[in-house]
Amino acid sequence: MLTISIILFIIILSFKILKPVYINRISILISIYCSIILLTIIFNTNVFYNYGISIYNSLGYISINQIIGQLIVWFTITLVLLLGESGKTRKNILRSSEYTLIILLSILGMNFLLISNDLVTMSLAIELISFPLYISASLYKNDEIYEGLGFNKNNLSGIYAGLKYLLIGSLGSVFILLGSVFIYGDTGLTNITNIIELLNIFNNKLEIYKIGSTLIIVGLLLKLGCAPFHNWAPDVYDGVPTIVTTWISIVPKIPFLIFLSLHPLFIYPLLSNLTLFSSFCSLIIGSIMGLLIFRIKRLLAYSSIVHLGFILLSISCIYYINTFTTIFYIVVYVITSINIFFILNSINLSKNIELLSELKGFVYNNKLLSFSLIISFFSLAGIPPFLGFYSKYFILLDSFNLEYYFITFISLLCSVISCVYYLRIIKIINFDDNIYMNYKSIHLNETISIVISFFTFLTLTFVLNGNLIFNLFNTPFII
Amino acid sequence: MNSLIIFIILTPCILSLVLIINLLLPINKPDFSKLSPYECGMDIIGSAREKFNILFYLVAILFLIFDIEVIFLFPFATILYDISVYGYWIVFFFLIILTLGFIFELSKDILNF
Repeated sequence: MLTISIILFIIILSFKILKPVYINRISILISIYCSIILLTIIFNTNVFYNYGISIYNSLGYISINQIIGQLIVWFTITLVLLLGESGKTRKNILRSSEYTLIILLSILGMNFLLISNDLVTMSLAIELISFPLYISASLYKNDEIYEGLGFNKNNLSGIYAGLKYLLIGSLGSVFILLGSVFIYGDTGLTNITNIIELLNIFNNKLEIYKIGSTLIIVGLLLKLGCAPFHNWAPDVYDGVPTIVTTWISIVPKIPFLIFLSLHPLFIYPLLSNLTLFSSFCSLIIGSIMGLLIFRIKRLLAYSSIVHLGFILLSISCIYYINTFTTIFYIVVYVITSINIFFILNSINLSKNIELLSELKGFVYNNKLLSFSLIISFFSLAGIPPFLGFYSKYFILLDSFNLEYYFITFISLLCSVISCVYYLRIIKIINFDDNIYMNYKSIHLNETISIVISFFTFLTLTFVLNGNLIFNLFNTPFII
Repeated sequence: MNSLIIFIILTPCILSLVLIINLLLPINKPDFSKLSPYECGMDIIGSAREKFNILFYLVAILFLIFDIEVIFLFPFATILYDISVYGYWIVFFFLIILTLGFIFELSKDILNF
């Protein structure tokens, strides 16, 4: 259905039958429809709990975990597309008529990557994900027309960021392709289920296969933005307009992480060593380098590196303890990040914000908005009783039960260090004098305010009844 | 694997050795006139770069894409007898998807100078 809609949208846009606003609204309806279908699949069928189904002549493989991943992707994309409704038509992001089309192509790639069971479809899907990201990063110039989008004062910063993203992302794709070439060269197979059957026979005798799978893992980590391959992330997330960072910083991570965690393509001792090393670097680099930052989006980029460190820690524990902590952490991180980015976008509608010091005394501008911002930052820092604490707690419980004592100690230390810059933001919002905004009150859009209030409600009231989310994700992983 | 491992370890060592010697030993006193680009021995007038019309790049990229589409049509032409009507319709859908991209590019009206 996605492909048909993309084809129709291409035709519609080229002949200018409809305005881009209507295409945005139709795609919002499509994404709501798809997420409802996926929800009903999860709740109504118990077919996929023990095994999966191969589709497209064994180029694809569907089980319950892939459906959960697709659900998360579609759900976040409805929210991202809702941002096209914000602002007046002159300041809107839909000034460029291909914006929704780019997002839809990227989602097609994400769904395809989650379904993929073959090395060729994996590389194809990764390219489909990445190219629209490079395009949308460099789509807007800093003119007066595009004022409400959240730019740097540097005129061409989006284009610089897009160029950096393109070069480093294509390096990651190159690593993935070389790795799959090595795997094919050693095994003679491209289908992943066949490779797993072969691996069960030859346990440790495939040397070049190990090189290939390390290269694929390195390429995926590079595309995610994990340390020690993290250098592009703060520059890209900072230089791109804020509406575009809401989706390039959150949504591509979901299929890559789920693909890393669920696919037995990578030999588990090898994968767990690499991801443990990467999580160690990510935690230290993200927490320490974030202390020096005074721009908001750069800070959020470094905090995303820390959260990726936690997720990689839980990925390395999956083979031994078969739980749902990765998906739960991903969902929590997505909820809080979208909350924060929606709040930043709503502030940008009135006045463009880049630096942390422009948020001084934000309580006096809009009390409820600053309340939700404070709660989401508390949740990111991992302070009970908010939502972020429980996700970190489950991960640390798992790694402690597996006797990874050193890495749990390091992660606890780094979450404490990262608390510094979260609490500094909260102090700036609450206790400083309102210099930059002159006590001007900020008005919100209706759809954005509904989303922000729903997510702050979720983070606040998870303590009281967490069963609702657990019933959705308390499914065994299939390997 | 032994000789391969030695090769992989030795070449960065030799390379870094040469680069470190290059860093440490020579005299490096840069001057403004030493670092400036060469303009027949005279003083510099302007920047060495000029504006590049992006139309050239666009034409090259579009040629590349449709040329690769044509490359895919060559084996289809040789084997058409064996895959008769079913194969024809599969390649038809492939061509339709690429034609959609072509329609989009034409509608943007970018190849006008």
